[in-house]
Amino acid sequence: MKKLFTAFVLLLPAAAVLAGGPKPLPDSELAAVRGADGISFAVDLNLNRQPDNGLGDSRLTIGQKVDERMTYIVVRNIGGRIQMVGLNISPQTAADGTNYVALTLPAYTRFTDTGFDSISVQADPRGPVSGNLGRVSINGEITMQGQLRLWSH
Amino acid sequence: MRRARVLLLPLTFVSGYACALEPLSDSALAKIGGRDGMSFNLSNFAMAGNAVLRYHTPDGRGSIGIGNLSASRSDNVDAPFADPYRLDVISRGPGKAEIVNIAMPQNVLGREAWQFAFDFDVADNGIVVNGGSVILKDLVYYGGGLQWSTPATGDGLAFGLSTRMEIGSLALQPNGRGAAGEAMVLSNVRIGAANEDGSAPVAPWRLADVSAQAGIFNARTDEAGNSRLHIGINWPEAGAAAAAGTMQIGNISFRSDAGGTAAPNVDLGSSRIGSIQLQYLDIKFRP
Repeated sequence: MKKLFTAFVLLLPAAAVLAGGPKPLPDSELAAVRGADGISFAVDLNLNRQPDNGLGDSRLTIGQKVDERMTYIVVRNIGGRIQMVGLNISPQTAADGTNYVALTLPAYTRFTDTGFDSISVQADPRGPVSGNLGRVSINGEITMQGQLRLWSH
Repeated sequence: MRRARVLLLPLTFVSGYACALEPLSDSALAKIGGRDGMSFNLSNFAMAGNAVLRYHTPDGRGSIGIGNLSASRSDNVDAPFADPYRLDVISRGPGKAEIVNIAMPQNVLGREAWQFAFDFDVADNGIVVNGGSVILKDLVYYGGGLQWSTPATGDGLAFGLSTRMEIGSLALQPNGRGAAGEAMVLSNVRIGAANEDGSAPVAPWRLADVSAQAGIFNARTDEAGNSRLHIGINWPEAGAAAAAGTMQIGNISFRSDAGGTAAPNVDLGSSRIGSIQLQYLDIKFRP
């Protein structure tokens, strides 16, 4: 027991130094602190892609009741791959004092079979797809520059 | 007992840090501004790439593709924060759904101008036919905006839409964007609210309005059991009239290098629709 107490007492000076409270940072050290602007993102989204390239059955359904009859918009197998590099979010202050969030648009985006397999309108959201209106896909690359700036008013 | 004293020592350090929270004074609290909407705008925007957006027919045989989109927008650099896009939720009073409203910049000086170019093709059974390029120069919006809400009856999306735009030129170039020698060109196009004297529009044309003549988007099933995707614009509310719009095209011409110098161009001159009223629109999609 005594040993434990002794060990603790020996540690106390160290703790006291740490607990001495915040100290002002001299200007010279402060000048060396490098402020980074916001957060950058890289995204690789793979959505509803089957490992064997087979077809799944993932459905986004929106149900609407008009004239007391329920109808569903069914979008089947929304998915594909989206790779994005160079997305950045940072808080900024403009010269006129406006505080805003700057969303730097992704410098590079690649779409691989991004889209959906079918869109249909039907009374039974879980039944077989009937009245298919077609399929939409996006493939290829996009480069972007610029910012989307958001602020409150 | 001795152990208890040992444990007390570290506690005093902890309490030193724990008093960090302080009440906010009334004066500091008064400086917090309550905000009720969001502004946004683009800055130095441009995009390009070989991505293709393609619509495939349900049988998988044919498709239409739009690709190689290039777009950019210039900024009002003198006042980048004074005239943004504004998103607000507007109350319509008791018993009525609120409206989500996006107002476009007034853009009085026309400094925020868009440029677009894209290629399109049509494919059927493996044969792809390139349709050419569409090139839109100096598309400038002046005010206008979008509204969303819920319909007065039934489910779905009620929308409003108003716009005033000027297009420097809209060119369809069948041999691609590098071959400007062959083209159909509409230039100096103005679309907006009609004026009595037929002059150029100075205000947005209200094509649909949630309160006076709502647009509607929903899925509906008719009495025979046919389910359809539906987009439309309702008749104007009682006592309201459909807003009158105008479309004025400065020049329509067909350009061709192929004819030599004899008569290379067909210049059809200008065209003007003085007043258009959209009273009712009903589109249903079926395969």
